[in-house]
Amino acid sequence: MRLSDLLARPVRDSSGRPAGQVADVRLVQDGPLLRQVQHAFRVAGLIVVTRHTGRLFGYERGPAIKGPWLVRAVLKVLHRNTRYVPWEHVDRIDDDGVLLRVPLDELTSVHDLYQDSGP
Amino acid sequence: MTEARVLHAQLHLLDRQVVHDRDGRLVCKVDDLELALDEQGRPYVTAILMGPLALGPRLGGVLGRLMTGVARLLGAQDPPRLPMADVSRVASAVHVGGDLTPPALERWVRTRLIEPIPGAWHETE
Repeated sequence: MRLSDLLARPVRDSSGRPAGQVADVRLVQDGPLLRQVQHAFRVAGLIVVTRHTGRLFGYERGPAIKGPWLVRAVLKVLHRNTRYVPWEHVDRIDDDGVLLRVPLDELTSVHDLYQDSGP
Repeated sequence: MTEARVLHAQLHLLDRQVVHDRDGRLVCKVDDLELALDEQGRPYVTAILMGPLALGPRLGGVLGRLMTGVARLLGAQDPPRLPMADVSRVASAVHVGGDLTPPALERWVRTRLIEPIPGAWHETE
């Protein structure tokens, strides 16, 4: 499997409703050990957008998210439909795209990722 | 125990420059990433894929098909891969160590076209 098999794929929730498409894949370096030297980057989750462009520029995940309240407010409005799907919520990936185990309403906003800390 | 590093594939890895640690040589761009499944069935990144056979399918469309078609005509089977174990640092560029095999076309040009030219070798060689 390749990363490009995940990017831009349509996402449907557990009832088959469209949830958007995969804009990015979040990787965490806590996977299996590679050559006993370093941990692999594991796929932790998917960032799903409803916009047609499907491209994000990272503002919703960068330092700006902890920036001045006005910037935060604008980003929150712009990305109100940008959601984060932990890998545990992915049921399967088939020809039609990514099928989730959970309904659309249970998906968290990408902002919730950065409430505490993180890059 | 430090917290595990977090990256976003599209934002921090794809299309970034890959630089060789030893001599700072520009190796390639990150055209795609190869994934494998761990024991729990979760995907993890095993290698950086490069070249037209990695970028072509990602681009899609006529340009992508042209890219992969030409590469296959030249006898390429799979995209060259850089194991993630060789990646030493991910910053604005991706730094890799280890020994790199030169791309097939570069090797062919060197042995067939350059080396036969008188004076193509250094005096020390």
